[in-house]
Amino acid sequence: MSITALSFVVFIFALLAIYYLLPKKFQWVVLLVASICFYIYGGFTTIIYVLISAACVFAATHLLQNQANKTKAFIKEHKAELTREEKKAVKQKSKQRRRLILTLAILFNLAFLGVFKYSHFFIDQFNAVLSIFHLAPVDNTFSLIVPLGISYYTLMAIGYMADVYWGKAQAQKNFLKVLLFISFFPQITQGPISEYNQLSGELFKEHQFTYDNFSRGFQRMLWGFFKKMVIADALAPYVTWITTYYDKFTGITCIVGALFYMFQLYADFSGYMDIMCGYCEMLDIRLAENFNRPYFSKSLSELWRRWHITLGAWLRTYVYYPIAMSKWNQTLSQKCKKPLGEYASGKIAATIPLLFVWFVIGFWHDASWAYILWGFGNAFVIILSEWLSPVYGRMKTALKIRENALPYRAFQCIRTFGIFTFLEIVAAVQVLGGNGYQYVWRAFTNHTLPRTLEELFPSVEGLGGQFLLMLLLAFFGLGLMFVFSLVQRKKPVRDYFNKIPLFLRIVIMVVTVLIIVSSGVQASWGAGAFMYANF
Amino acid sequence: MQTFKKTTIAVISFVCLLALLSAAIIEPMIQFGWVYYCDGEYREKTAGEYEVLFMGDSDGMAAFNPAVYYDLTGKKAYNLSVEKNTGQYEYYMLKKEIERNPVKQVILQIGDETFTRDYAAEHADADAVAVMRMSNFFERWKYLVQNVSFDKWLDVYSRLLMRGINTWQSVIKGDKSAFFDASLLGWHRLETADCSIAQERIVGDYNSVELETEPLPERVQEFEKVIDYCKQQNVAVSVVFVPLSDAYLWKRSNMDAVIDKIKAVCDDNGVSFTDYNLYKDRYKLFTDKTTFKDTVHMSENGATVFTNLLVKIMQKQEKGEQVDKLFYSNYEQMKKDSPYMAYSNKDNLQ
Repeated sequence: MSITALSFVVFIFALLAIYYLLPKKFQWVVLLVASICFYIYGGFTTIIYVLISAACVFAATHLLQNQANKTKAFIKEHKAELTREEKKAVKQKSKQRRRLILTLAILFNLAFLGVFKYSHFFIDQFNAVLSIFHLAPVDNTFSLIVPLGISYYTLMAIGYMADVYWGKAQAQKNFLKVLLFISFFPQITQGPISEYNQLSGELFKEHQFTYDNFSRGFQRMLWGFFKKMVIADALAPYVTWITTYYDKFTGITCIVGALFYMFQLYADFSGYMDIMCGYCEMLDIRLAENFNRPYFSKSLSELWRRWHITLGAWLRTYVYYPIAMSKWNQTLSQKCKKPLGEYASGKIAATIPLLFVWFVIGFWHDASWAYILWGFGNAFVIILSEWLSPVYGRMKTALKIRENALPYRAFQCIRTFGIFTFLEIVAAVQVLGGNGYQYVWRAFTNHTLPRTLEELFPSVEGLGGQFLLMLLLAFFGLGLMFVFSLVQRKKPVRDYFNKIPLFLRIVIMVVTVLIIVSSGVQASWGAGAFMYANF
Repeated sequence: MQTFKKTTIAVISFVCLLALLSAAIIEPMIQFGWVYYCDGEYREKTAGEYEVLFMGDSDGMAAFNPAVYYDLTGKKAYNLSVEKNTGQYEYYMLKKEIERNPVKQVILQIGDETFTRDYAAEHADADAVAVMRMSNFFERWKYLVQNVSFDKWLDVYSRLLMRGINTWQSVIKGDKSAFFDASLLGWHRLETADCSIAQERIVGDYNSVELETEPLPERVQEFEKVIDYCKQQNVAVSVVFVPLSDAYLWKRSNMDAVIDKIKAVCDDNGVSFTDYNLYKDRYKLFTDKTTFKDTVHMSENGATVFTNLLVKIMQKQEKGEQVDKLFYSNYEQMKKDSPYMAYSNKDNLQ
């Protein structure tokens, strides 16, 4: 079911009415039924994989919890008889069993992800190896329908199982509640990747309808639709045109294309988040935020704490820290201390898990070398800036640069945005079948100045004058986004908006709906689905 | 209770204001005929006067002039064609008109893509135009409910809003050129423009575009539904392919294959098919400089010439005369006589 379709709008408002009309204890059941309906709309087979994943998670967390409880009970019962070493041995054996359960469950879930999302990639690499030995390639022309949201719910499932393993969460005794956690439809196509404790606390409590939640949630949804349909989808044809036929355009046009891509990407992804977070707010459910004005970041590592926040948090908790705190990493760090010094050994201990994290991020985004290299590109910049931070510190002192000075902060933001754009556009052009490096090379070495506005903003073949109007609206929208980002440093824009008289607010919202429908619906037709849903 | 009251007031105000503004944008262009195809009320008023109906897409809308037809035959005709027409629209409109206006003859215009066009990308425009042609508010909703799937309503609404906004812009500027003109009887009058191919492109353009040939089952079904209905109502049906510019045909490499498929469908349904592109005097009558607005739409001059020719050929056919000698047997033969051949090096043409 497309989020921008009329049937989805009718679906969510019908759900809203049923949700609040039924007794509060059934609210989570209503959400579960709605999530299942959402899945089934795309075909009955899509729900099967979610059910299997949920069943695996339910079984695994139960086994983990039981094992932990049994061990605790055993030790408590035999407290007096057991020696310290014996207690340690019992705990160690229990930990090994639980680790085995967790590992098998994670591998089971990852196997589905691997087959549906990565099988073509693995076969391609295998065929590349076969070709070295002049052997016949394996058939790679079969098609698999990737289950909706598999990239997202697999991570959530793994996170939940890990939380139970570490004792951070209690295993849920109700299978249907586990199913709801995994399949909750607002987050299934593009996140956020929620932690079990946070989301379950929201899903399973009783919710009271308030006018405040309803109106604020609706306002946020509307803003999300505006970002996606009026901004992102209007920029999409131009971005595709310029990034596909970049060799025909001037360097400046290529730079414009790259900038359009970055605005499209942000408006598309954050627009979806606003739609879903806004809708959940209407349901009195708080989803985790995924964006915090990322293009105002002063470094790439800061940007990744403000862009797709929940993915970063998930990787930090379930990949980075386990690797960083693992025995072998600690041992390696210790071994490096003597020859390389404390500073270097500390950095190595941080660098290795970081490299692994960025490999996972790249590979998770897309089953292609373009995105794996994109991940390592991000890692390289972040690691380099970490390693050279003392050097930067000394340079700033020598040059008498004040960290908080506006020009320096502006420089940092522009620099970070430039690096992020470079990494993103290279990967994006590669995935489209072009050469991302040639694109960037052309952007900076072709010094031909566009002689007309038409050369700077070339018309897309097949699109009429109407799209120029949509583009103008998109620019207006970008301006609004920028202003809202500045305003939001102090407090949410909605706080200011809700001070306006009700009638005027309704007029503004109605006009926004008309703009979204008249301009956005047609732009969406050409642009297609949400970009991050492809991941 | 306060919360419920506040929410209800806000929601109702929102919905009412949205409906009001939408109506203010869309309704005037339909009610006041600010667009040339908003003729629903006029057709309702004049129902019963027509003997011949002409139905097709934008090519047909520009090619058939009912006033010229009346001058030549004494029969009152109406051009029901519309840009981006769909089979559903054709059936709905013809049925509606024949029910209140029993006619003797329907002339169906089809184009090279009528049977192969996938409406996925264009349905919203087609449905929006169809809705605008309905005579009143309830008719419009009836058409929407019966012929447009629910998920596509938003697309149609979007198209209507855009057309409404564009129309308001024209009205504010005082531009009435697109207004409905009852005297045209559904015909779309277009100015002449030279659509000839530039000399340096003649060789490169030759047979450079290949059209889809295989008819889509759903398009054929829609066509057959129209034919079956006309037969039930004892209405004679003639299927025509109106003239396209030489520039257009010069580029298309497989028109013969396309026409063969169209002929097969017409033969299966027992209806006559006449391709006016193959008329032997086409290069004298339908020149790219004088009879077209663009490569596929005839201008006012072209419509006069074509309507004259249509009447002449149809009268001969009614008398039982053989008209095959007046037409080329295929496009390959036709292209050999094209004026563009004189400007091109024949050896370079494949």
